[in-house]
Amino acid sequence: MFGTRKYSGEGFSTSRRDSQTTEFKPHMANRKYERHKSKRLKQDENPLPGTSRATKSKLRTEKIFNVPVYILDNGGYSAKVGLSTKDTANVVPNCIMKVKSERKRFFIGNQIDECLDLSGLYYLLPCEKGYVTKWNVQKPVWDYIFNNVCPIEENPVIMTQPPFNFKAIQEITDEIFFEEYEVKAIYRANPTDFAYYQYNCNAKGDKVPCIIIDTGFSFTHVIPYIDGKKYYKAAKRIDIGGKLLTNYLKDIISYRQLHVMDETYIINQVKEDSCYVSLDFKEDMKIAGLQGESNTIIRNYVLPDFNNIRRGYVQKPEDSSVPEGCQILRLNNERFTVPELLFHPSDIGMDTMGIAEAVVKCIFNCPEKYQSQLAQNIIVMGGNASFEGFGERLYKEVRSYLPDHWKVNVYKPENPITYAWLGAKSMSEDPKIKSLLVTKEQYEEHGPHFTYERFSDWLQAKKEDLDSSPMVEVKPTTESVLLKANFSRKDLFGKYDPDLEENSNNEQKSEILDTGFSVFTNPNESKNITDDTSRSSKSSDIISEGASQSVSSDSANKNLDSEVFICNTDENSSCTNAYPSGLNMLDTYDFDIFNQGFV
Amino acid sequence: MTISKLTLRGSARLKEVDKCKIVDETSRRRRHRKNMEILEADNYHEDPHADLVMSKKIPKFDENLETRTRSRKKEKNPEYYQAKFRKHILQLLEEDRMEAEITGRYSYQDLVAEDTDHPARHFCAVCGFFSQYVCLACGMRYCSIKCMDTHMDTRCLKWTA
Repeated sequence: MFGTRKYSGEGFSTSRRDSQTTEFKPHMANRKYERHKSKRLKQDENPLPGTSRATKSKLRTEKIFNVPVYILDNGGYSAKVGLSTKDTANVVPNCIMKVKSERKRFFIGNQIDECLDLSGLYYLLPCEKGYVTKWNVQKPVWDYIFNNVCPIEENPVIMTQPPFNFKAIQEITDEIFFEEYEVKAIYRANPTDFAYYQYNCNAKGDKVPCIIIDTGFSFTHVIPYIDGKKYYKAAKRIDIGGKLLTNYLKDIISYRQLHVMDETYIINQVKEDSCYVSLDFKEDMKIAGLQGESNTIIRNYVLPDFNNIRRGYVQKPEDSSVPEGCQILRLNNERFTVPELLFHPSDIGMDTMGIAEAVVKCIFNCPEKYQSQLAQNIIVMGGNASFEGFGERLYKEVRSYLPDHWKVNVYKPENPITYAWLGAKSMSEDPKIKSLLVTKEQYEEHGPHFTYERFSDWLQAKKEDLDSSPMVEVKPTTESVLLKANFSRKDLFGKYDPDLEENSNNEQKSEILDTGFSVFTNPNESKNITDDTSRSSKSSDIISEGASQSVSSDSANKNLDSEVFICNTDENSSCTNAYPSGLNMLDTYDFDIFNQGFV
Repeated sequence: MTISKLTLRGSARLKEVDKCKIVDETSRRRRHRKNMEILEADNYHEDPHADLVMSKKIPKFDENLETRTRSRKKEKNPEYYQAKFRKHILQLLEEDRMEAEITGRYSYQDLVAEDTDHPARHFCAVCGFFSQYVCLACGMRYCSIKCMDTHMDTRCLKWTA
């Protein structure tokens, strides 16, 4: 298993030299030549038909396109890439990495395999919150993938994008693919769409209603499919992904035993190797609290030293000998409390619900006639689903929430990471894919807006009637910005300040104005008032005084943005602070805390 | 704290204790938010190549990366796309929200899962097991005297701010 142990000092230097000189240059020089050649050789170039399935699929796609389809599942941490003739996808890290030891170069994608010392790996990730925003990272990674990992020829492309992939992002993607890579045709959809397709291929009926849980690096989506379409009203996103779990594990290990804050890469491996989802959390906690033999959870993890051991591993429980000169992590309750966050985000103080609860809520938000069918078709995919026990735990929890006579079924594919890729592969064999693709000609004729509308099914997801769905409400600008950053007004302004309070929130203001008095209607806010009652009573006077003045102007300004407010009296002017937009309010936030938070 | 009135003559220890204050709700929340930020970060440490700026050996983006794509004529620098894009994630979210509001469709923000119905479980901030006790000064949890001592010596916020 650990063949890499043989790296001697000499082996080091030679392979390092190799890794530097392997520049893929000759390959690049022949690029143009190969392109021409490949047109002729295309039939021969296809891999040998190892399995009958591969041949069949090859034949089928060739019937549609004459060429295999290029499939790219562009995840936040890893890109899954490969031609539709292949059986499995290539999983390539979707990032650029820098290491301390190698100062002269970066490592793009799976070039990292050439790197010998992975300690202190620094990531440049293309995504923020799961959406590609750093094109100076994404572009080189794609260049690398399309040139070296899986060369692209005249193939049409199927790729994934996260739900609500924003217009600006899609525009740049189009530009890169159509104008720079000169792709003939492209189709984009959410990874869950492909998973749905794949599941339906294997399921008996057509358009089976199902719930797909995609738990990846940046976030977790729970999306129900009804009649072949996403049912957005019940879909949910939980902002917990593999990145957060790794960072959490990093944090607790650093606090409890060994400083590993810089070792994201290694701790990610620790997480993958040793963590599991507990089936009975309380029981496991009890076992982890035991001493000696009876503690069946505790494990030693041998950290890599990048000299003899390249990748760390979990020591067998009976083997207690420490390899010489190696550092060891002792993992006890960390093994299951970390993935537990997926099911109980409240463990680290997040208020959102966990996956199981979200699935149940999602089922009950769907039309009643589909509910029991949805419970029978729950699919988990994405990297976090690879945790041991993930499917079982989800089944157990969902089962306990739902009525007894319903059947519950959780399906976990063999490889949850490449499931979307597989789905895209099956889709490429479907004749109807041709109508889904947007060709280069279409793009050139209609522009980026056309592709955006074609590939964004959420544009059609209208909120039917706002009052019948209580969970959906349109919020005024300032408040929604607050929500985004998880701030409350109290955070922004520290101590209670009636003037700012009034100004910051139009809704609140109108309420005050309507009644003419009673500033402290909200019990939460009255808690904050400490010793400035005299002042607040004074300012409540001001407000009721100013009320009559501003009512008229307020109604006149009703159509303006909610940021606009009116300065009532001259006494206010000292603390009136114009916040022109929500984002600026965020900027001033820290400052305010420091001034007002502690006295 | 009432003790301070008794210590006119000044005991160093009591003065220390006096300085130790109970951390208010705002900064507790701020601590939580900071923790969440660390959990969301891509990297904890600084860019190891950041100090290479003045060096001649600085890796050149163009040389190092295989930027050659299909037709060299249309090849563009990665920075070109970044410059063209130039949008912060919050800006994108806001645009999405506006567009959704105008057309009445669902937006990114609508999909966020609601708050849980279940009460939070509490864990010892030191050892990770279930905890029953709360640090009076800063509100973190611990499970035993041993963990309390560790907490007081390390992450307790009583001296800060």
